[in-house]
Amino acid sequence: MSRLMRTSEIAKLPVVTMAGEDVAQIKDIVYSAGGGGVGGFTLAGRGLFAGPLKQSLLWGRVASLGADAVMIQDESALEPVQAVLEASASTGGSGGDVLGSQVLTDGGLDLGRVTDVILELGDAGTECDVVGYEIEASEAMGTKGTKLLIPLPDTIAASGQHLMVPASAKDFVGHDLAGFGAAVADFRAQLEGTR
Amino acid sequence: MMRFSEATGHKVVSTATADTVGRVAGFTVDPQSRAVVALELKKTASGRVLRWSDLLAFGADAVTVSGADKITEPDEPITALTGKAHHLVGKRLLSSAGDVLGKVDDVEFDPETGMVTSLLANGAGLDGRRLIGVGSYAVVVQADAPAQSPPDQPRAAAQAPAPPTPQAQPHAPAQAPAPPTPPTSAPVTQDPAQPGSPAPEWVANVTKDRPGPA
Repeated sequence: MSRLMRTSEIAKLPVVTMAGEDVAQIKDIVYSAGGGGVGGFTLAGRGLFAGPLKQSLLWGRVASLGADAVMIQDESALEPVQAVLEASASTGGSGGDVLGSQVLTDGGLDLGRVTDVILELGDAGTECDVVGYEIEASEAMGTKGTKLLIPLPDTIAASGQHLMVPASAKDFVGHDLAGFGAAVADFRAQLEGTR
Repeated sequence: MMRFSEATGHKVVSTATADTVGRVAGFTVDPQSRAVVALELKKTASGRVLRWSDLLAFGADAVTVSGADKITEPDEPITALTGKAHHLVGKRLLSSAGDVLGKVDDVEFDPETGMVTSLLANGAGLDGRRLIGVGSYAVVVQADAPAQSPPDQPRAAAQAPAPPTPQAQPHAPAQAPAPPTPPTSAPVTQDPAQPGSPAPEWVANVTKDRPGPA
């Protein structure tokens, strides 16, 4: 069992200990594994004018990620900012921020611009993978300007400017998250078959 | 069972002098033992706290105590548990999965033992055994789904086999049945959907036969 979530829903969520104290809020998501997974989060303080904290949260220390809060056992789960940045870099983290990147197929077709990232959360929060992007469609998709969901293979190439996806991704585009999970599974099955 | 709302305002009467020595103003709950460990009192001659272990009985109309000398100033452990940060009623109710379940409207407790039996929110009761923590942001309770509890959480593995009332979670995401044998907790079957609450649009039933991790 797993569920899908948008990264836009995760930013600003409070980080709450099991003792019921909100110790921080999520600032940014740090990706790992070439942009295919979540390495952790950088944090900001709670309160109107709170700035970034010198602490971060590695994905492995998250007890649970829900619709309203990121749960941690206690404050010892937080670590210095360097920890999350180093952990991600060591697995080939994609440096750039993917939002706003242009999505190109390996056939050279522009599919649109990235507006959000879709994550899949596994059981007990053991995995958190990037499974797709929400894009604002280009003309090539025949529905210019609308928001579409594109599934991702396990590994992708991403720079700050472009996101490369296999040309077949175009056929597995979804329009809402309800059916998107199945689209991701089908798309990856198809890639497996052709490898 | 009695509720905090009913018991607040109870007279505290000394059996030695038959005088009213104070009134119940609040309750100090220890989330570790899930019990009321002390009563916060007002209108006392001296002292603010009556430890649960020092009272004679918590009756339907009054609390009895052997003497006014049992009312004391709070010591360190009690002080750590007292204060607005540790009041339950009116506080946000958060599951250990990170979903807000509502607001605590009232708390039911056993007047014989002080154990918290039920947390009342949204018109339904959550089993008091699910209480994990009380802090300034929220009251945290064990989520319904066994898959959400991390392996080293001491209370998680011993949840009662009969699932607690599921209708107290209007905001919980609808979940597909659990895959074979989650590593922790009793093998509780989950309610696939909450009656009457629409499934959030981002819920998807994703099968796990993806290719292996990158």
